[in-house]
Amino acid sequence: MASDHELGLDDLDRRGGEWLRGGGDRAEIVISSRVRLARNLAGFPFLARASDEQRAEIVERLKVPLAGLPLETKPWYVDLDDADETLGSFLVERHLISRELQQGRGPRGVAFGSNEAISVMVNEEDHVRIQSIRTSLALDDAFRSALDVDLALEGELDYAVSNRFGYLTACPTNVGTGLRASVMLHLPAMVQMKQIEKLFNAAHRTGLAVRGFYGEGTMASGDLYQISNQVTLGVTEEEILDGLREILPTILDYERKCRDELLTDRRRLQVEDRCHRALALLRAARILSSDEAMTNLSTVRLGLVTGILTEVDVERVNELFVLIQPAHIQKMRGESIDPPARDAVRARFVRDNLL
Amino acid sequence: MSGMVCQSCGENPATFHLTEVPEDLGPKHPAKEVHYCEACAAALGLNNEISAGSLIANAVASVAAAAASSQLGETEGLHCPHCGMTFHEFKRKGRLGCPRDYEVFSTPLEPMLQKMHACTNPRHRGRTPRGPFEVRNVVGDRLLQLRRELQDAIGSERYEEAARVRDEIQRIEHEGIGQKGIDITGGAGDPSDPLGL
Repeated sequence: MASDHELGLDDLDRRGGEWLRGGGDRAEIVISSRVRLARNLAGFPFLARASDEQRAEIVERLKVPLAGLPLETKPWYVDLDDADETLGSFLVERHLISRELQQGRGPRGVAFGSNEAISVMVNEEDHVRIQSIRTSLALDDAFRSALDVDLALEGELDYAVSNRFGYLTACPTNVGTGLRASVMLHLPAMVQMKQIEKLFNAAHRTGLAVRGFYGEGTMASGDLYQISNQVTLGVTEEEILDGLREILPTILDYERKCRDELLTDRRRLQVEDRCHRALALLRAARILSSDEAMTNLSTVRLGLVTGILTEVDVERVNELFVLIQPAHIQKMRGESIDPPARDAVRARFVRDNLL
Repeated sequence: MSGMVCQSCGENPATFHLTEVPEDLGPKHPAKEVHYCEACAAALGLNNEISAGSLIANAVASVAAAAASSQLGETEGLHCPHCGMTFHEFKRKGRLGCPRDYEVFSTPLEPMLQKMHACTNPRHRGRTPRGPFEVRNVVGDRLLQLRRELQDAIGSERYEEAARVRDEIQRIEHEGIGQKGIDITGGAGDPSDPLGL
């Protein structure tokens, strides 16, 4: 098995991917924009029917095209069939792979560049899953770079496509464009004002799905929510992106109004107190669970974007949402440690980063 | 929750449970809990979602689906010759077995696609690969069939046949299908047999 050092992954536990950088369009609320394309190779069964030999053959076919992808650095390829559990979890926490790929079986892996803007999963639910993540609101950029990768692979391989159904996928919920576009939103004021139902209502009215920080099936942690399209067939890629863009102003407006409401004279002192306490707790704690860290980081982030707090970079807080996750803490220590020991390491790491 | 049957198909074990009720449900549909199997949850666009609201529009539609499922009964036994997947198995697992399944199961899939993608005539309108992808996919289907034969031959220890099928796969692939590299639209190859079939 290749070591993390050989893989070039050994310094990733100290910094987040570029998509956590912030500073772009609507960055006070929109953490990131993500696009993924689901593709399958013609001539092979989908994974539900693929033998291990066929899975290995699919990986082999993709290795050369993936190695040649026009990324900012030569792509890394992590073989998940051969990776230890912590490395798999680490990649899930960084949003480079899905839980499904980590927990899958047989030959499978992921390719990504050093800034983590693009990752390509092999043998997840489909043979190929291209993912592109950008910081703040940048759906067009995310889509364009996913498409660049798609075109590069399409030049080397034959995808399973039909005129009628478009790109053929293992689950019919992805067929057609194979496109899932999403934005990750930080909505602490809506949560505090008990208005988060409005997000769900707005999303459902327009046929969008709401998910938590770690995607499918996860609850929102740190007041982070993802909204994404559900329809992939019978619409163009542009229409999917437009659908998401059209609903955003409504949701951003809700959050802004709630933030304004929190800053009115009546509530301001309470909110200031809460933000300062959250920062003080993170700077003082000796034992810190990931839940407690996420909750308080969210409050600190609210303080920073509303000007209540000024002494920390928002970017650092964005990064900490990922860096404080369990596998990151273990990787930092370079060994597997039990949860109580992890909570102590996490507390120290957060303290060091917020002083 | 164990032992519960999917209320959409009335057949498979329900593994997907929702208890949230939207405000506009009304006394006519007082159900507080809904239970679906994975395939029906997927068909209703519910699996893997925190969402509950979109359920309701779909839940009403699922009544119609339940009525339609008596017709689906006839299609349960549909079987894909390319991958061995049955429609029944797809409904249970929520995943198809190969690209051909979209055609093989097109009749029972159609109403599911309509619901999932919220349209009455779900046809692809997005981009497609450059070049004659449909022609190449015909070859893909042939390779799919050969790979299935190869697996079967190995499984039943018919090694001579396996070797023959493997050669055939390699021949087709060597001639530039499945992996690009040859201009199949013309150029250097035999123009009367651009696919090397």
